[in-house]
Amino acid sequence: MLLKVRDLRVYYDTVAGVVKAVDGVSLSVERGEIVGLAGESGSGKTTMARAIMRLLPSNARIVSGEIVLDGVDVLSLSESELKDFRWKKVSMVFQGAMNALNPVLRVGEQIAEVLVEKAGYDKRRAWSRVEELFKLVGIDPSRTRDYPHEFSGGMRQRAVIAMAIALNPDLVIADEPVTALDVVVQSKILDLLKRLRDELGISVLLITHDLSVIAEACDRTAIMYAGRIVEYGSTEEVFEEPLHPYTRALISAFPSITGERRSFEPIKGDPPNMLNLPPGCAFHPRCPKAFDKCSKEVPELKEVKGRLVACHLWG
Amino acid sequence: MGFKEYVARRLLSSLVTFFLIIVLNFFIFRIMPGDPTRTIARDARLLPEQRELLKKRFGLDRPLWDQFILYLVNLFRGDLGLSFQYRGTPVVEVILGRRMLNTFLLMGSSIAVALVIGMTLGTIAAWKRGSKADIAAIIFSLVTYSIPTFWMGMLLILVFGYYLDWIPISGTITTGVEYQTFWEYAADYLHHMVGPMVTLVISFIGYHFLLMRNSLLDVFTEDYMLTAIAKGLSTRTILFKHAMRNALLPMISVMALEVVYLFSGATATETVFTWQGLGLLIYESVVKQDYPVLQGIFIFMALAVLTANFVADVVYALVDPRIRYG
Amino acid sequence: MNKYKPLFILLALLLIIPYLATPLKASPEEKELKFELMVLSWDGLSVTAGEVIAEQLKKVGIKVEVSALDDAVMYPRIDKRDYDAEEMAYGVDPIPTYFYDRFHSSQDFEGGNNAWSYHNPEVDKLLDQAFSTGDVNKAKELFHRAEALIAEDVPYIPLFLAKDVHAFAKGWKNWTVMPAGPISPYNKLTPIYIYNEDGKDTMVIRYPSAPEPLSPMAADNGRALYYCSLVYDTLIAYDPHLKPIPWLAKSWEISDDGKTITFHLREGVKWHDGKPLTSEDVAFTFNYIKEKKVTGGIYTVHLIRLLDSVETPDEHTVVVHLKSPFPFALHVFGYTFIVPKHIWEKIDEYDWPASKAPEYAVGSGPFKFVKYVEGEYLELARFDDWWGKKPNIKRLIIKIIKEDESTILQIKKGEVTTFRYGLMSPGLIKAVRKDPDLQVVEAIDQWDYLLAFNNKRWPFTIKEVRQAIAYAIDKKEIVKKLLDVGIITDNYVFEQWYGDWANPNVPKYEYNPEKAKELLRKAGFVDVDGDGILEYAPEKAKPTTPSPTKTQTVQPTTQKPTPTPTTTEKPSGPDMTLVAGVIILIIIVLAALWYLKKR
Ligand SMILES: Nc1ncnc2c1ncn2[C@@H]1O[C@H](COP(=O)(O)OP(=O)(O)OP(=O)(O)O)[C@@H](O)[C@H]1O
Ligand SMILES: [Mg+2]
Repeated sequence: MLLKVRDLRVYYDTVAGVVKAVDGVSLSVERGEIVGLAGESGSGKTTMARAIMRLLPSNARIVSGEIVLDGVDVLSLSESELKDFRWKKVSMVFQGAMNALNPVLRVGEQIAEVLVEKAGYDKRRAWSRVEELFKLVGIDPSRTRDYPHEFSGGMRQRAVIAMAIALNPDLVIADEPVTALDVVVQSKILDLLKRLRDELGISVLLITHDLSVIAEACDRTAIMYAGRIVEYGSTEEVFEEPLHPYTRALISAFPSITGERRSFEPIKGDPPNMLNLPPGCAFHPRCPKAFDKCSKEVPELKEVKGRLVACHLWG
Repeated sequence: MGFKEYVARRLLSSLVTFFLIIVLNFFIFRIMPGDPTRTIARDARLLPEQRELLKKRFGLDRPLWDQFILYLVNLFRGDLGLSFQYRGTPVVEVILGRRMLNTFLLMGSSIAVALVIGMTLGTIAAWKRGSKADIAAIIFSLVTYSIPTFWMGMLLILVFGYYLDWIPISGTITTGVEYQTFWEYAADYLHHMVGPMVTLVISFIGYHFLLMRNSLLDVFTEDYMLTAIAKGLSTRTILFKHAMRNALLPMISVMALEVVYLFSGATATETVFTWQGLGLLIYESVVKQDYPVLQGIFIFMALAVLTANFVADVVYALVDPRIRYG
Repeated sequence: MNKYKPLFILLALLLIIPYLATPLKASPEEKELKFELMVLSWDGLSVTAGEVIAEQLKKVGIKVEVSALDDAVMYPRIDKRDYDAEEMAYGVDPIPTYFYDRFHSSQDFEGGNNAWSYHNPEVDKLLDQAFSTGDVNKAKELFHRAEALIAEDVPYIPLFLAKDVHAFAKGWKNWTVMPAGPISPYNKLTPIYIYNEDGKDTMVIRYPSAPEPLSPMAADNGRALYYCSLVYDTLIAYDPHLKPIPWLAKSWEISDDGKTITFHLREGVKWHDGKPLTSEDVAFTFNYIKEKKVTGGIYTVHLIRLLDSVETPDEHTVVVHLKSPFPFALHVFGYTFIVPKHIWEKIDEYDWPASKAPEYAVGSGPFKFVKYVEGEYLELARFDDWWGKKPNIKRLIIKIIKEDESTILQIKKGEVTTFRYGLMSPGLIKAVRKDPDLQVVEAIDQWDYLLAFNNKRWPFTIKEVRQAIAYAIDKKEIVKKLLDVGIITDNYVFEQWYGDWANPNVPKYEYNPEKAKELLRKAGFVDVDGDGILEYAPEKAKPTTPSPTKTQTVQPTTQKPTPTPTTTEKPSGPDMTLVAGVIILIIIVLAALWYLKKR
C-alpha cells in the first residue's frame, strides 16, 4: 500500500465558526492505481489533497489522523524534510492549471528549476529532460521556451502534468485536472494519465466532481460528502450498483456517464452548510431513504459487498 | 498588433500630450492672479520709462497671442526665456546647470537605495507576515514615513554634523577649495551628499517597504505561488524568483512616477542641507513668482514623466509576457 | 455617467452656498468699532506685535481681528488699498527719500508707497519744496514742518526700528557698526578693517540665497548690492553715522544753486584688470545708467531723473549737471557703483547672467571677483593694487546657507564668520545672545515696523480714532514681548538714521488709555450694547456722564454719521438671501434623499 490516510480531520478556523472540511476520512491508495475522489463542490476534496502534501492554508489545522506515504509519516515531517518530500514523493496538479503556472517565467524554466534544485541536474541536462517530458505528455518540445499565456488550455494542463511527473514521484494528486477543458481534450489528458500510470508505475489520486471523468479513468472510486467518505470501492461496482443513496443520487444526476442514456434526476435539497452540519448522517435531510437513526447517529464506514459504505441502510 | 506598432502609437500619444502640456503651461501662468510685471518691477519708485523697458526685456509688452507664438518658437529653439529672480539669466541655464545635476544625483541615488532596501525588507516581511520582525518593520516604516524630513535632517545635522563632525552641515562642496583631481572633487561631493541622502533614504524606505509588502501579499494568494511551494523549492527561489518578479510589475509604474522626483527634488531636504537642487529652485521660484523658471521646470517635468511612462509601458510589455500590446 | 449626475449637481450647489450665505451675517453690527489687522505670517516680529496690539486695543473697546497672511496675499491687498489696517516692516536707506514716497499724495496709486492713502495738501507742498531744493538746511526745516503735520494726522503709527542682531565667530575683531549693521551695502568699512586674532585670512559671509544678479547695474536686492559694494568703488562712502566720506573722490563741491556737483578723483586708481580708472569711466557710468534706464544699484532712479549732463574737464575731475536741485544729490551720484568703460561699452544688456561674471566682473574695489560656483559660494580675493588701506583679510567668501540654525552651527564651528542679514527670529536671537561661543553685535536695522491705517476707510477716516489708537498702544510692552529686538520710535523720520533731519519735537503719543477712550467718546463712540466693544452712536456719546439705556436704542444706520465710510459695501437689504439659502438647502436635502433612494 502506497498511501494510507486514517481518520483524518482538518478544520478551518473562520470568523463565522469552524469549518469541518475533512472530518474523519480514511482512504488508501495502492501502487500503480488511479483512485478517483468525487463529491460535490465544498465537500473537502481539495482540503484532503492539500493535507497530504502538507500545503494547508494557515487557518487550517489538522485535528487528528495519520497520513503514511510509502512508510513515511507525513504529519511528523519537519519543514526541511518537507521540502525534500514534496514533489519527490508526491506532486500535485492543481485545480485550475491555468493559474498554476507563473506567468512571468517560461514554462520550461518552471519545470527545469525543480530538476536543478531537487534532483541535482545541471541546466543543460535539465532543459533536455524538459523536452523529453514535453514529448512524453504530448507537447511539441520546441515550445519549452514559451510563456504560459502562449499555451492553450490543454497544453497548459499537459505542461502541468509534465511538471508533476518530472521527479518521478510515487503519487500524483490531480485536483480537477480536466475541468474547463473540452471533452476531446479531456479524454486525451485522461488517456495520458493512464498511460503514465502504465509506463511509469505512478499512482494517481484523481479529484473531480465530474463522474464521467472517474468512470473513464479510475480503478477505484471514493465518494465524499460533507468531509466524509461515504462509499469507496472499485469503479465498476460503484457505478454498477451504488450502495449509498448519495452515490446513487450523484450518478443519476449525471445525464451521461458511459455514453448510454439514463434518467436525469438532480439531487434534491441544498448542499450542506459546512459551518453547521446536520446531526447524524450529514446527508439525511436530502436522503429519500432516511429514517430515525439517520438524524441521530453518524454512520461508520463499513465493509459491505466488498467495498466500504457509510450508511445506516447497510447497518 | 506588433510590438513596433505599439511603441509607435504610444510615442505618438506621448507627443500629443506633451504638446497639450506646453500649451497649458503657457496659459496657466497667465491666468494666475497677479501681474507678472509687478514681480520684476515691484519697486513703486521705478520711472514709467524704466517699467516699459523692463516689460520689453521680458517680452511682456506684446499682446498675449504674440507672446504665445514667441513662447512656442523659442521653446523649439531651446529657449525658455529669462529668469526673473536671476535677472537676465536664461531659464535653461538656471535649470540645466548644477541644480539639475545636484537633484539628479541626490534623488537618483536616494530612490535607488531606498528601493533596494525597502523592497528587500518588504519581501522578507511579507514572507514572515505577522511575525515580530514584520510588525517591527511596519512600525519602523510608518514612523519614518511620517517624520518630517525637515526635522530628520536637522537632527542629523546637529548630531553628525555638529557634535560628531562626521558630515558637512550644508552645501554640495567645500567652499573655496581648488581640487587637484576629479576624484578629489567627487569624494568631497559625495561626503556632502551623505546627510541629505540618509535623510531621504530613511523617508523613502517606508513607502517602498509597504508597497512591496502589499504587492507581495497579493502575489502570495496566486495559485502559481502554491505550486512553487508544493514543488518544495527553496525559500529564496520562491521569494525572489517566483514572487518578487510578479510583485515588481506594479512597482514599475510606481518607479515611473518617481521619476518626477528627479525634477521636483525634495524641497525640505534640499533646504535643510542647502543642497541647491530643483526642489529648492521650485520653492524659491514660487516665493519670488519667477514664473519663467517654473514654466521651464514644468516642461522638463512633463517631459520626464511622459518619457518615464512611455519607458515603463515598454518595459512592462517586455517584463510581463502576458501583456498584449493594444 | 448619468448615474452620477445628481451627485454633481449636489456638489455644484454646495459650492454655491457659501457665496449666498456670506451676506447673511452682515448688517446688525455694522457700526461696531472693529477692523481687520493684516500681519505678515512669516515674520515673527510682525505677528507677535500684531497680537499685542489687538490685546491693547481691546482694552479701550476696539475689536481687532488679526489675520496673518502670506506676502503673496498681503502685498496685493496693500497695493490695491483693499485693507483696514496692516502692521509690518518697511525699509529705509541712508537718504530719507521714503519720506516723500510715503506721504506725498502723488504716491497714492496702485502699488505706490503711500499705501495709507494719506492726502494733506499742506504736506504735499512742504515735501515738494523739500525735495526740490539744493539747500540742505532749508530742506531739513521743511522736513521738520512736514513731519509735525504728519505726526498730528497719524496716517500710520511708527512702532519701532528692528535691531540688526549679528553673530561673529570667535577670534574675529574690529568690525564697524553703523545703521543696518556691520554687514550691509552701506558699510564699506567692516570688510577692510576686520581681522582674525588666530591669523585666519578668509572671511566667510553667509547668504540665505543666491547673490545674483552680479551685474552692478541690475543688482536690486541687498545680497547683490553687498557683493557689488565689495567689488566696485563709489565716489563717496559712509562713515559710521552715515555721513559721506571721501572714497574714489577725494573731495567735491556743490554749487550754490545745487545744480552742479564737481567730484575730484583720487589719482593712480586701477581697475582689477590693471587699466587706470579715469573721469571718463565715471562719466560713462552715469550716462550708461541714464541711457539704459538701469534698474539696479542704490539710487539709480533718482540719477536717471536728475542727470542732465556730465563733463570731464580732465582725467580726475567729473562735473555733474543736474536738471533740478535735490538735497541728496551728493549721495545719488556719490554712491553709484562705478564701472569700467572699456568693458561696459561692449555690454548691451546690463542684466547679464552670472556666467558672464568672469569676463565682466571688473571693478576697482578692495576685493576682486575670483569665481562663482552656482548656488554654492562666491569667492573674492583682496585686490592688492587697491588705492586705500589694504584689507586685513586675503579672501572673502560668500557662502549660501538656507537655514539660520545651520548657519549658527557653522559659525560656532568657525567655518563661517558671520551673515549678511540680521537674525529675524526672536527665539534664535535669544539663544544667540546667551551663547558663549558667539560674539553678538546689535545695531539699528533698516526695517521700521509700523501700524498702518487705510485712511480712506471708516473708521480711520476719523482722525480722533487714529489718534486714540496711537494713545492706546503701549510700544514698550510690544518691544518687551519681542525680546527687545526693536528700538521704539515716535518719529516718521528716524533720528538714528538721519540725525537732525528728524524733528525732535513731533507730537508724541505717550501711552494713555484714558485719553484714548476720551478721544473715542468725542468722536462719537460708546458701548451701546455693553459687550465691551464700542459702537458709533454720536447722540449717546455727547453727554459727559452717559447712561446708555438699552430700551431706546437708536439704529446707527438711520442717522448717517458725518464721516461715513465712502464705500458702504454691505447691502442691509431684507433677508432675501436668507430665504434663498433656506430654499437651496431644502433642495439639496431633497436631492440627497432622492439620490439615496435611487441607489
Ligand atoms: N482557507 C479556507 N478557510 C476557510 N474555509 C475554507 C478554506 N478553504 C476551504 N474552505 C472550506 O472548506 C470546505 C471544503 O473546501 P474544499 O476546497 O476542500 O472543497 P472541494 O471539495 O475541493 O470543492 P471544489 O470541488 O469546489 O473544489 C468548503 O466548505 C470551503 O468553503
Ligand atoms: Mg477543490
